[in-house]
Amino acid sequence: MQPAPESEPSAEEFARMLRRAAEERYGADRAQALDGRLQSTARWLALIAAAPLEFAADPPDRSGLEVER
Amino acid sequence: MSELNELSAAELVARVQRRELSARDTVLTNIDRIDQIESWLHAWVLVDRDGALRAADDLDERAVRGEVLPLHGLPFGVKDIIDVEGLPTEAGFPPYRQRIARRDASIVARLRTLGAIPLGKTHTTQFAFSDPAPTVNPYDPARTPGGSSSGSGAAIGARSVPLALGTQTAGSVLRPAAYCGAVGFKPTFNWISRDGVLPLAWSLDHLGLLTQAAADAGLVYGALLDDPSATSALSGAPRIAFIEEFGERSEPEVASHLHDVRSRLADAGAEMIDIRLPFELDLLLAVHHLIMQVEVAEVHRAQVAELRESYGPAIPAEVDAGALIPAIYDQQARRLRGALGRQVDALFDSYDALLLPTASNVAPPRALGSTGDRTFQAPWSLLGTPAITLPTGFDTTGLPIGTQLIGRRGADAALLRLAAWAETSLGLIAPPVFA
Repeated sequence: MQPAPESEPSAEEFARMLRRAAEERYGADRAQALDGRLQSTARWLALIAAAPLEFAADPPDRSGLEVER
Repeated sequence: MSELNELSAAELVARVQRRELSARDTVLTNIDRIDQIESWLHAWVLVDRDGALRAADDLDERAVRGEVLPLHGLPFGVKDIIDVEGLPTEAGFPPYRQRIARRDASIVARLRTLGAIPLGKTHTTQFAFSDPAPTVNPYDPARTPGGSSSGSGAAIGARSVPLALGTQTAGSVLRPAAYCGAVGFKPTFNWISRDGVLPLAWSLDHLGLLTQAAADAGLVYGALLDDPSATSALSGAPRIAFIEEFGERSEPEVASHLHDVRSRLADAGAEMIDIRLPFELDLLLAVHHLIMQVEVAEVHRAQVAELRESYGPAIPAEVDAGALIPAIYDQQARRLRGALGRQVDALFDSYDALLLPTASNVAPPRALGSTGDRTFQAPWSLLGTPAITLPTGFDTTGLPIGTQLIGRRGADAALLRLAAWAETSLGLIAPPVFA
């Protein structure tokens, strides 16, 4: 396992990035309406970004498609 | 005939196969039950009385000729994102009201060949996401039935049909089953074809079965896959791992009930072991929720652009949020799913099943506008493992509590055997009593 890059954004930083992107794409009112959902997404992104993975290992899962009947 | 509606699917099929009961009687029994309670339960979008009776009469004629099918005369409800030829698939979305299916979904066609009878379409949250259906909980109309397979859960809980089809992307089979006092079974990912089923999230969507008993789920699943081992008796004492994190995150009455279930299974001969997950549960949930948000956004993006005003609030918000997620983190989530899944697979080298509450709570009030807590079911949708909920008790207000068992990917029949054993050991809860 290798450590996660130290530069990965925190949940608060992800939330600010998503909020800015929402304002640019949808306008301030819609961004405000989406705020709670974007806060949740930011928390998920921070957890995922900080999770270590082996370099060039752990290929994306196919969610059981490879489980033969 | 009213007590016939409380027969399990296995008992009902056995009586029809022995010609002690006609298929027409089974359909009429269910229609009679629906007529008694549907005005307040709102489980059904439509009941295809004429179509079901025609199918029943055909099956009765075949029985006279000596033809006996594995699910002869078994009526079933179909969640309204699954196609039934000649009926609309509305998905809780008004523009689809006249969207008539030209052919059966594969699961419906397969059930027909086995002798089962589609009785009608059951309510779903919009497109099986989170904007609630009109359905109420059969144990307390002020409570949610859960979602997204809301009508299927309520119909089974109220004993208005012995089998119903649902789908699960996060917790949409097991949670409504648990909240409504039913059994809900979600097989290994993609082991029941999704052909003819509206997608919500391609890599997470599962078809599932809701029944009154685990033995019924085994009967139907065994017939669908032509695998009689799904109804065999369990051999040997099972080793079951109780996952402590979920107990810690449960409401006190649910946690207390699960500890009681744990003790009763041990008394019945199971070896019960307390374990913790080999990773953070919050990471597993984050991976599920992020992948689901991206996939829902991709599936609905174009239609939301065209018909936004016809949607409830939930899917357009998910589309708008999902469209902002950087692709690199979506890809990392999919790699993490693989890594976490392999760690869960390894648990089954030591245990026959994992045990946890089906939901952290009992059915919440409908006034909250939510169909409940998905966090105890979503991990198993993410990883594609088979999962089943059994109705094992009530809280002090009389609302059902579900117990969830998880099996190894691909070991569906083994999980159904274990669930049937657990059901026999624990007993079934009483159905709701209506004034």
